[in-house]
Amino acid sequence: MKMLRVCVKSLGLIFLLLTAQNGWARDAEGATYDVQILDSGQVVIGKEVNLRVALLSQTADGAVMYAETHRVTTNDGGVARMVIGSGKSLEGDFDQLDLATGVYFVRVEADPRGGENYQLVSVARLLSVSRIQQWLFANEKLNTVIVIIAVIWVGIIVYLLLTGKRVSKLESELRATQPEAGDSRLKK
Amino acid sequence: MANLKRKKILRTVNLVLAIGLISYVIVAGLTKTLPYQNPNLDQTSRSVFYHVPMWFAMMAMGYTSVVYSIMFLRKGNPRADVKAREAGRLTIFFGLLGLLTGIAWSRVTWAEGLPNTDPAAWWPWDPKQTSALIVVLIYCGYFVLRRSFDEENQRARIASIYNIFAAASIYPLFYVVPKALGGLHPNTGDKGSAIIDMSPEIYSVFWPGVIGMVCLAAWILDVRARMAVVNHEINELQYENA
Repeated sequence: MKMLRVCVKSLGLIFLLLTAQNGWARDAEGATYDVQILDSGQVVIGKEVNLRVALLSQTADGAVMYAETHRVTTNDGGVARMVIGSGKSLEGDFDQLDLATGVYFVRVEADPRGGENYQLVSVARLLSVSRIQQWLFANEKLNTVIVIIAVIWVGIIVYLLLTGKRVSKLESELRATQPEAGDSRLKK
Repeated sequence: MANLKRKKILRTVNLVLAIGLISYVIVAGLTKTLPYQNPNLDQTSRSVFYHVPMWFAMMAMGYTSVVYSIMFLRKGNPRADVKAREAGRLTIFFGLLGLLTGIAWSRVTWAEGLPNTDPAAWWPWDPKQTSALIVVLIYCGYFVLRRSFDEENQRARIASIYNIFAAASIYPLFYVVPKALGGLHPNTGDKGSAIIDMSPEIYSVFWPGVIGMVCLAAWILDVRARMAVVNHEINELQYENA
C-alpha cells in the first residue's frame, strides 16, 4: 500500500509539473511565422518586403476569417519573420478566432519589392510549433523527464500486476480451504 | 469456473487497455503537434489530455460506487459494500488529482497576471471548479459517516443510502450548476462544449486518455476491492476459528 501511495503521489506531482511547465513556455500574443522571399527565383536578402497574410477557414480556399499586412526586412537567408496577429489588420478580429479547436489555413502573399503587387507564396494548415516539444527535444531535460515518467508509470503497472497476482493466489487458497462456500463466502 | 474465466478475460482486456492507452497518451500528449492555440492557452492546452480524463475516471468511480451500494441495499451482500467503499476512495483520489491539475492549469492561464500571494491566483472560485470541490467533499463525508458507526451492517446500510445522494449530486454539480452560473470553464453559461468542437488532432489523444484513465481506475478498483474482500474473509475465518 505504501508503494502505491508513493507512486500515485509522484504521478500527481509529475502531472502538476508538466502542466505548469507548459504554461511557462508560452509565447507573446500571436503566432510567429517564417517565410522565405524569392524574387524571380532569387533569394531577397536584407530588403524590406510587404506581406499579406490571411487565415482561411477549414480549407486552403476557404473563407477569409482574418487578414493583415506586414512590412518586414528579410534576413541573410532571405527569411521574413512576422507574428501573425500583430500586423496591420485588413479584415476580421484575430482575438475572436477560436484557433484552439477550429481548422485554419494560413495563406501568405508577398511583394518582394515592397509594393502592393502581392504574389502567392504559400498556403498551409496552421499548426502550432510545440514549445514543449522544443523544450523537451532541444535539451537534455527530455531524458530526465521521460525517465521519471517511465519509471513511475512502470512502477504503478508492476505494483498493480504483483498485487493482482497476490490477490489471485489468496483467492485460490481461500477457495481451496472453503470449497463449499468458495467465492461466495461473503454472500450471507 | 466459466464465471472465473470470463472475469479473467475481462481483467486482461482492461489491463491491456489501461497500459496501452495511458502509455500512448503520455507520449502523444506531450509530443503530438496540435492546431495552433490561442495565446492564453498555447501549449497548456495539452493539460486537457490528463486533467479532464481524471474527472471522467472520478465520475465513473462515483457511479460504480453507487451501483455497488444499491446492490448491497437490495441483497445485503457485504462484498458489495466493500466494493462501494473502495470505489468511493478512488472517487476522492481522482477528484483530488483533477483539482490539483486544474489549479496548476488555471494558475498559468486564467490567473496568469495575479501574484502568488493573491488567493484568487490559486482558487478563482470558478463555479465548475468549486462544484467539483463540493463533490469531492461530499464523498469525504461518505467516509466520515462510515467512521461514525461501529456495527458493520448498520454502517454499510446508512453509508449506502448516503452514497445514493452523493452520486445524485455529481451530474447537477458538474454540469447543471456551472451551466446556470457561467464561469471560466467551457460548457458553462453561454459557452459551448470544448469536447464537441475538438479538432481531430486533440480528439485522437483526448478520448484514448479518457478510456485509458477509466480503465486504470477500474484496474485499481478491481485489485483493491479484491484485496479488501480477501482480507474480510480471512478476518471472518480467524474470528470463527478463535
